Amino acid sequence: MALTEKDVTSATRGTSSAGAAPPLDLSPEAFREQALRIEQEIGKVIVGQRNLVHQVLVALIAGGNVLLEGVPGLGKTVLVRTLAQVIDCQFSRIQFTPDLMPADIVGTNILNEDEHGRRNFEFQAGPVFANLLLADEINRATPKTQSALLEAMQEGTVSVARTVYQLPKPFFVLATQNPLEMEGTYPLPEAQLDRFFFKLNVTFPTAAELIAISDRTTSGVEPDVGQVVTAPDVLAMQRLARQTPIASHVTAYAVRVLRATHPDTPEAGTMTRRYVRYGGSPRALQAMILAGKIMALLDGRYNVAFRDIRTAALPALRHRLILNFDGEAEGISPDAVIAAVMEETPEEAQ
Amino acid sequence: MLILSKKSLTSLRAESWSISIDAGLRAAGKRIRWRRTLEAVAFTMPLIVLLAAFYVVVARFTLADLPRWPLLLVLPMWLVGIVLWSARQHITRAEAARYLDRNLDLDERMSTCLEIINSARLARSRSPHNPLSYALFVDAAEALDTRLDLLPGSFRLPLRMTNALAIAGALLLLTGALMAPTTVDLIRAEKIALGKSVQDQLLEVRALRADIDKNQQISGNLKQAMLGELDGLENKLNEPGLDRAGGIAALADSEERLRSLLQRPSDDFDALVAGAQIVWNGVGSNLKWDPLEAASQTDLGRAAEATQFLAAEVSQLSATQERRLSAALERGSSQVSARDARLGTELGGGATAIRTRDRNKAVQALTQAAQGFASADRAREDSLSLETALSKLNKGREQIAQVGKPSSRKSQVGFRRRGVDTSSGPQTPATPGDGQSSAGGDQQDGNQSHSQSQKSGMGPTMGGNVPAYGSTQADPQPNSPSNGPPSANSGQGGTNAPGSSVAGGDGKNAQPGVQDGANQAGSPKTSGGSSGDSGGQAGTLQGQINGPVGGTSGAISQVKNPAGAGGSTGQGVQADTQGASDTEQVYVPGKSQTTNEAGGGSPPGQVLPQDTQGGDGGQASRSDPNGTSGEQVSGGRGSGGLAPVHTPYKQVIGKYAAQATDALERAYIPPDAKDYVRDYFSGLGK
Repeated sequence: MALTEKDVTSATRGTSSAGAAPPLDLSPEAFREQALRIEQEIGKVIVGQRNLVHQVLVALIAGGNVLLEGVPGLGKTVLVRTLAQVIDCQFSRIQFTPDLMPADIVGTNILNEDEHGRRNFEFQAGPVFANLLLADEINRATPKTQSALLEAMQEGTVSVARTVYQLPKPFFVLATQNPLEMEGTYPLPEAQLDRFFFKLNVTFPTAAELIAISDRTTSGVEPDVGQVVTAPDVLAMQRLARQTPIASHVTAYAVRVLRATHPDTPEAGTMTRRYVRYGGSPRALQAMILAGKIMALLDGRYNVAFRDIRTAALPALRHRLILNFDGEAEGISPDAVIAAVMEETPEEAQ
Repeated sequence: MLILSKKSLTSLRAESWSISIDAGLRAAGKRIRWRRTLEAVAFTMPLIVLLAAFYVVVARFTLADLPRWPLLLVLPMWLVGIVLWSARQHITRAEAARYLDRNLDLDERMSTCLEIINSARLARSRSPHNPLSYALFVDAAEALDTRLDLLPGSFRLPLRMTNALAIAGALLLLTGALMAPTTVDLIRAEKIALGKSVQDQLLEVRALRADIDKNQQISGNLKQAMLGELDGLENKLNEPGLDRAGGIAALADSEERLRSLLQRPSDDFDALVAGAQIVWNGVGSNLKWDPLEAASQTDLGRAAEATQFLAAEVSQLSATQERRLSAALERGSSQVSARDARLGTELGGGATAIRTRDRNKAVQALTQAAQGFASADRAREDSLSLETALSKLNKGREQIAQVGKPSSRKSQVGFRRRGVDTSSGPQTPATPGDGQSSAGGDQQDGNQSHSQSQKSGMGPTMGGNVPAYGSTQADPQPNSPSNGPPSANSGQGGTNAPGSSVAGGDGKNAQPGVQDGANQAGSPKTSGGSSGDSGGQAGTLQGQINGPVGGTSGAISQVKNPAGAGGSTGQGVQADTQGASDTEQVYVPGKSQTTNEAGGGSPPGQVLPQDTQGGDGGQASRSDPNGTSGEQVSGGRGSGGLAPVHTPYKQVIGKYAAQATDALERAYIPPDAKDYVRDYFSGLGK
């Protein structure tokens, strides 16, 4: 059982033919420190919602996109705008309406005439070309328009007229939707939903938070939000996060959790079998693992633990579960199903 | 806080954290092994206890003959098995790492470290270096160092509620199995005792068979039949799985078959023996024939030899010899003619021929008589052998019936078959005066004895008298069998009928109600042995004495008076049984002496007491054959009474009980009365 010197050497320094380990441009401690500063700066504007801010930050570091769901007035737009200020990157906002066209998002080629009278098409970039994109009330646009974001969210590119345009990095979409006003809305298709790293529910502030909100917004004093990280810093954080080690049995646990959301798998629990039509996709597993890694680093650890997976499971899975008729009819929320799945899935394989 | 850099990677020695991780893994490995051992203990303990309980149940509550020592081996063997199983357990580092992660809240640090190490070792060149690995290792080592002491205690038994309940239930069951009362032990002990008893009976049967085989005096056919029966019995007793009922049945069957072979009970020869004694005694007294040198040791055999000798010497007899021998032969003739008329005739003819000096006829008659005696001797030997065998079989059957049973049951099985002696050792039944006295029944039977011949001796054919016990039979009720009213005086014989010369007991210790001088009740302390006892002791008497031989054998007082006039009397007896409440007066062969010379010499069968403590004034009278001139014998103190041989009470209770049982079986007696009698003897037997 004893570790050998050889084991230690190979594990720490590596013996690969590739030579020395790749350089670390960001230490885990710096990673954590920067994340902490981001949260602190956002906290100057956003009252409460610490968990929301934390998970938005996780999604940002993971390079994913976030779907924020909450009633109007909870600070979703302010959160995204503040985040853009803190990171010091380009921010863009699209208010989704039913008449919004894809070209209004991605841009279009327009015919220009130069000084010589020659005409040519010139690409006019849409608002999607930004580091942070706020897709406000995304469910009010038609599916066609919604789909305009698919490539941007997944690939970080935009294809217009056979030309692929690279979006700036980091690229981070924060979409919001109002769960109350459902008339005239177009629910996001599964493919669209699956491209969101997290779906976060914006909860109503507590009484104390409301008092603080009132004080901050009615006193005429604007909070001074400073730039704490740059876009390259965010990219460095993204790279470091992906190097966080994870044990195979932890990955297996995440896999079991994911499979437990599928009603036709052996791991599926009672609630899954009864109310779920289709479970999470592999993107959900990726989201859980990656979010777990980032959460571990943010927690000051250097490996992914079971609790990281458990924490990441809910925002990573809730928008990826498709309930069946019974689930819809009985008003079962995906959160309840996921909670049951987490409770029924053992950490250690049986 | 760890700042991971190139410099730190090179400056820190790998051993610093690897030692911590290694120590943690070793400690975890030990804990896991110990925990698994305890889990195995907790899981298997109910099974082991249940197994032990099952064994105890089988051993204690069934007749399976299981030894107890395996129970002591259960615990050591179980522990050894647990230890061996634990030693064979292979604890991997991954298991240890996960155990540490789980129990020290390490958030999968250890397992991740180990996985990185294993991945690096296995993949080597293809394994990309993880820049966070070193930080993870150091972090894990630091966490281990600070938390290793928090590992769960080694000796904490991981008992779940179900385990605890199972163990408690199993222990309860085991305790119950150990403590619950059971009768199987008694049954098993009884079974063992039964087996031993059967084996004892087998030995007895073999010994009996050997005795019979060696006995040359038994007739051939009978011997073969007996040997065959005993062989069959031995085979039955040797059968495996023989139970109590089977053993008893086998013995009973054999007993019944042997009993069917018994043509004449041995006491049927009592009269012949008495006559034989008279004959050989007369010959021995008057001729130069020594009975001690006779080839035969039996009375009948001696009589045969004596008669043969007399036949040879008949021509040389003197007048006195002729007179005496003739008288002896006549007495013998009168004695035996009741049972063997031919022999009696021969003897009588021989006596007449001697008296008339018809020598040829005398020789012929005496030779015939000698043959008769010899024939009777063989027949009696056959009967004795059969009765001995029956006695042994009956005893064996009783032993098997009683073995291993509580003492309270013994009284239930103590009843005997008719004619079976239950005293220890074979007895020779029905020798003259051999029967033990049974003071019981004296009143009733004694009354009858005055008027009719009443055979009431002990032995296999003992009469069906209701057994009674002397201590309770001092019935003062006067008897008036045939002669005269009951006498109210106490000390004088009653008025005798004409022709009889009955001398009543002197009555010194007679009680009111003494009657006719022949039968008086003794004091309540005595067991019927009052002086002047005659017909009143009919139940105790052996043999029959006709008038001329009044008072023959010591215990005989039952007198047959052919003339029917007057009762003859027996010997006056005074039995002082003070201080010996469990004994009674009995006749014991070989302890008698002939003393009565009055009336022409003491008959051979007359046995006088050796010690008469209280024979005051005991009188015995004899009536002649005609009933006219009875000789009166005064039973003076110490001379006229029976020797009060004291026999332990318990030696005779069995016989009495057997008689009672026999009577219960043979005569109609109301069930209530039967129960009363059985209870009575059961109470005495305790």
